[in-house]
Amino acid sequence: MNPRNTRDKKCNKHIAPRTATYVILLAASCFAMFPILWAISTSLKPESEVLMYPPSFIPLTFTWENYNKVLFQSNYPIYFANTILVTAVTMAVSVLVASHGAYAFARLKFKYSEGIMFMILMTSMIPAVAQLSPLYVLAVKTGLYNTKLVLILIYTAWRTPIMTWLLKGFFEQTPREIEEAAVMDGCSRIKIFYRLVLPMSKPGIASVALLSAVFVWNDYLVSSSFVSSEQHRMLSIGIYNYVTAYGTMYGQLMGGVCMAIVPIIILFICLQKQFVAGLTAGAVKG
Amino acid sequence: MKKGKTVLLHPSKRRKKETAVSLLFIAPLLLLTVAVTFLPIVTAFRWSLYDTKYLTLQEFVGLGNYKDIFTRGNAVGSIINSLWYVFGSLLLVFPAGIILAVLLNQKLKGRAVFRTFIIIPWVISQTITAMLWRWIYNSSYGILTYLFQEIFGARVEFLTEALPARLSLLVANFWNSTPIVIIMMLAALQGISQNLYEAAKVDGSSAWQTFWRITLPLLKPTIAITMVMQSMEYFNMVTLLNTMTDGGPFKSTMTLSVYAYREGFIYWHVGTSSAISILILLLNMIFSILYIKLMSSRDS
Repeated sequence: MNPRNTRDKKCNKHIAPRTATYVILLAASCFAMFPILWAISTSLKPESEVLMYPPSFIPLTFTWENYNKVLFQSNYPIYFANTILVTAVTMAVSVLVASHGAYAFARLKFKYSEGIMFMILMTSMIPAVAQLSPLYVLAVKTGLYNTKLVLILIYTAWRTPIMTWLLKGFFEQTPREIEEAAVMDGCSRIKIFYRLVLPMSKPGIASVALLSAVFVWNDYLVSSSFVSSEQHRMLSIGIYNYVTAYGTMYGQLMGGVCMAIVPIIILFICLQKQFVAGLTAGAVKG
Repeated sequence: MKKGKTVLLHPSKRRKKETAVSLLFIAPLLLLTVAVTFLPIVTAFRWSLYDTKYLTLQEFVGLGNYKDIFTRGNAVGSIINSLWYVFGSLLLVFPAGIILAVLLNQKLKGRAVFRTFIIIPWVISQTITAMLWRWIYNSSYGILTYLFQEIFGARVEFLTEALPARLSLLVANFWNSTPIVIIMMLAALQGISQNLYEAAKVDGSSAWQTFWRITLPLLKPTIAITMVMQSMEYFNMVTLLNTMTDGGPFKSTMTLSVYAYREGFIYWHVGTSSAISILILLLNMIFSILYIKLMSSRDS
């Protein structure tokens, strides 16, 4: 390519791709947001307008009726609280389990450590459907069936392998020298881990915490198989109440859906910066 | 691997203590994995060899269940559906994911806003994804049904005819799972040294050339690992498919995983369901070994 020519065309050359970039990103954003905006629009319509053909993009008459019904005339708030509780506990427990394990694998190399890590990581290859029925029997036998504890245990067990692996990569990237200096000063490994390594690894912890939260918040298989009472029901199952044999109440369903996605979107927006940084350091080097 | 051994060559009190600490640190992880993952999969394997009635074992039938799913059951059709779904999804998700990640990695005004909007579908569950798209595809009041009729003058039954149902599912899955690919690619892109791009610019390389000669080769390992991850995710996916179409119409969207789920949890044929699940596990293993082989041969 001739450098002189490129210099002359520089301005034009930069504007065209830039515009194209914006057009593509705008189109992608519209595609990504459309189903959600459509759900919001539906949820603000009275039932008669929901079932109108042709449909109106923006509600002709605004109403909070659907939200009112979902919030005050159903068990939705219970499902919501259950989901928040189980997600929060699982997040905390799985981060603790994974970070301890990851530190041992990253720094305190022991006999067969690589082999054990590999085996644990390979469990993520096991399909969930294969484990559901045996776990169901196990849960009934141990009396854990229909409790929140069984959900937390299963979520933690299924999510920690990948979290451990990501965090291991992350810990390996943190400078070894600081830790070695602390060892010289006679600090115990446990102390080093809590006082030094954990505080230094916030992006890594944030990204695996988000991974675990998204997993729990979005699960359907586990919560539908291990919980049967209203009192322990999670959101992803409760939302089915609006899908009945006689038809789906789309107005209320979309109201429920819109409220269900708010907390996880907020969490995502709060953690997204740390998330990508955490992944860059941890996972991606392969 | 090698490091662990050299460390163990210097036995001292400190090392012993550190081994104790590491055992303590991995104990919860090991315990959970064994109890909640290994134990069930061993049980599932055992069940797959038995005739079952609800959750009780009847007589030992050896590989009978495996034979049954191929001869009397729907294994062959389901495998074809799974391949459709996995490769269809990969074909849609990866090109879009890589391109969007590269675009989002540039210095742009409003980048954070675009990134947030584009990635949001990732945090939305398969159940809710299914609900949102079922409403869009709804044959009486769906917005897409309406738009299609206005633009093409034809009424399409998105979820009740075989081919449209398959494609509609792919679109819903594309919407839900492209963001994670973007995230992985973005993370990898941010690890690429900026100097390389500066050097390419000085050499007069066009954006297009830079993409093919620098960005894509450097992304390759991440693309490979993300592809393994996503193929397995799609192959093992139950919720989205089951919620959107129940495996129908006419079993056209019943992948192997949905087949296993429905046999196990809807019809309570636990032996059959276990046999299908073990088949899925075997295919998962074969797939990932192939991928890893492919990857390492390319690198060398």
